[in-house]
Amino acid sequence: MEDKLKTWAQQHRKEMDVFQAPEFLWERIAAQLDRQEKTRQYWWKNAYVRIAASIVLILVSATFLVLYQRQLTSENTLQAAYPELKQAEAYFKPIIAAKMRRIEQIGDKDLLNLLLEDLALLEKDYQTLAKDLQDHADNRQIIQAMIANYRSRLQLLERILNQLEQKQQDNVEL
Amino acid sequence: METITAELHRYLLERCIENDRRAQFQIYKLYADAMYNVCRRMLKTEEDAQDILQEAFVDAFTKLKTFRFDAPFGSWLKRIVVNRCINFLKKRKLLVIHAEEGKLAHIPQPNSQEDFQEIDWEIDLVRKCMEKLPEGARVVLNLYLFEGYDHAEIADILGITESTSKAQYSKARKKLRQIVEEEKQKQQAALWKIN
Amino acid sequence: MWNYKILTGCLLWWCWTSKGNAFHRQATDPQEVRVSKKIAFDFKASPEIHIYLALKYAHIAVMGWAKDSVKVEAEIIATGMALTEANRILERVTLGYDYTPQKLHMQLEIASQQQIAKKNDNPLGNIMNGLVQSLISNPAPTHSTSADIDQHNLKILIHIRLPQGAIQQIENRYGSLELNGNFTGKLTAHLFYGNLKAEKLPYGQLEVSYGEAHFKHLSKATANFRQSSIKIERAGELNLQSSSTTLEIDSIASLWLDSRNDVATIKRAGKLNGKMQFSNLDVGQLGLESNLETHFGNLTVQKLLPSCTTLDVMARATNVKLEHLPSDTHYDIVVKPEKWQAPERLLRLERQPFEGLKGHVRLVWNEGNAKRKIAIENREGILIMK
Repeated sequence: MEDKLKTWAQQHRKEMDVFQAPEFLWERIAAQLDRQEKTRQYWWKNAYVRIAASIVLILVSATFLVLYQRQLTSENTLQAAYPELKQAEAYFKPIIAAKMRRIEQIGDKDLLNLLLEDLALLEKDYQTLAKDLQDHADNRQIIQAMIANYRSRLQLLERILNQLEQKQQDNVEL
Repeated sequence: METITAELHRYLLERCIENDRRAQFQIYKLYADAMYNVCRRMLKTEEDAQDILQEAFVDAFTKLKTFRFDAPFGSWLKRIVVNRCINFLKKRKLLVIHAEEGKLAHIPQPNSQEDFQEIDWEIDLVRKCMEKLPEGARVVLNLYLFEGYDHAEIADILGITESTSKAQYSKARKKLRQIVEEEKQKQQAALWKIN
Repeated sequence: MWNYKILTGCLLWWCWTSKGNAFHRQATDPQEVRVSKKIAFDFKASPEIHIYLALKYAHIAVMGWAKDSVKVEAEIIATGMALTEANRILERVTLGYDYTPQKLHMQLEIASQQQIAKKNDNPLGNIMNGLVQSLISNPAPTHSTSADIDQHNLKILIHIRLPQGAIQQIENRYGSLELNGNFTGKLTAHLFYGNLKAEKLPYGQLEVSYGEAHFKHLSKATANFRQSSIKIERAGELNLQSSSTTLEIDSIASLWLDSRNDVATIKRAGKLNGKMQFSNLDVGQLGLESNLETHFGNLTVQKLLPSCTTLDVMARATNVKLEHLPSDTHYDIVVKPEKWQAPERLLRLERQPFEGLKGHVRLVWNEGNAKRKIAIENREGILIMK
């Protein structure tokens, strides 16, 4: 039987989130992580441990790769229903990843963080769109918006990359 | 659609595993508010919620290596947060849940229509009233209603049986309704006084 | 669950073929059917009634009137390739509402639908092919797409008349919002893929993403614009956070700006403070003061009005351009000499090395009586003064 209270609670789920995590908390977390790392560090210096670790790492990442690819092939219903979305994703994703790496190489970390913030916002928009796609109401517009969302990510990266490269070039020339 | 989240998260999480503080900070920023709210719902006091959130994030970053990328990171993290909260409550002996299987037969299924509809449920009021529930009932109600776990999962988290979870929920729901009604009456009485 | 009345259901349907011979079916002819349902209600309301709208796909027109009542008319229109399909869409959509003299709530509810079968002959697939193709040669096209894509399967038209003192909270996606009348209450608007148009707003809290907004007069507002195109004719105090947005302001008394990736033109500003990253900001006339922090991007200030007292720019790798250099000014400039363009007389001024920053020099001088201060520190960026 349908539980109306549960339905109601789910609808108002977001409104329950009224608190903001206090700003100082990150400092405490970072400090604790620092302490932990210090006590753990010597352990890593052992060469055998390192070799063993890298073997494990290779195995683990190989497993992940297989899992990940399997996930990709069994792609969710959304992309299956909209091949154009899949197409756009296949086109944009590698380019975006490559630009990202390039920016990472030449950009400073503050910049990268800003960029990640912006990308996270775009990602949030994408999620909203994907959710509204379930309405099956105006999907043509939404699919278009989802594809444009990829394009926005790329544009964002390209614009930043251009500026960074311009600056680098200026400095070399002068 | 999860794949882009996965892409961005992967990128950040892989750096988190390498103990890159900035990546950890990004992840923290993405999830801190939501997780803090989970803590506040579970723990009542601000200080406890902050302490537990801190522990949970340190815990998560420390054992991130064990995170399998096939599940959403958010739910993985949330489970850590929830478990930490439960442990905390248990340690303080605040959380006692009696198995009530014996009584279960008499507990009716939530007869939703009448017991839900006639009250105008308001989120703030519900939040306030939930605090007045006994600890066990409150935790189960909260996990079920707002944290999105089903009874099987709640049973697993709390180390109780599924039917105990259901019974607790049913009890909590009734009690909550009672408190909300009382509270409403009080509010209305107060209104009259002012007038 | 919502006790609303449907005044008219399934009002009309029509079909057409691309060649104009209605009812004459051909295998390739698109055939669309439209059905709609309407609701309407009105009630006496407090002059400061609270309005909450949580909608999608809605085109909302709000009118402020000098009466103490609210009048709502709405129509839900569904379009499908066949009557059954259109009706199926319509069935799933309900416009819930609920009111007292103190508040009006309206929200759209769309019942979930089981997996819909994908049509094989969807024209979108081919168009998308083209789109992706064209992207390969040009990674950032902004061309519009075929009319096919813009067709809406679901459209909701809502017309609301309200007391002018109403306090409004409106959320809408994939639609638009237009406000007419002299409102005196606060508007909180959150639009996602939607346009917003308002004549006169005393106080606004605005969030617009992926849309266009046009304001004639904004007295005071906090705004967050993303991926949008915004035009403001006149504004008092604006606290603005924006990114990837085209912003055009004719006249503003005080602007606090946090801008990223924007293209902004401000014709006249009194106070202009804040920070920007990767943004292009063009200021026509600066009336009082400006303190800016810029990171990359371009900043142009065309003219300081005689009343202006301060222009203080802390720039990193920004192209800064300052035109119509005013007299009666105390200048304090830090720049790389090879990236500095200025009139001859300024280039001959004495330069001091700038401590801690290799390759940069500092120049300090007065022109006339120092009634105002212009300080620009541009690290790594170009500075043009004329």
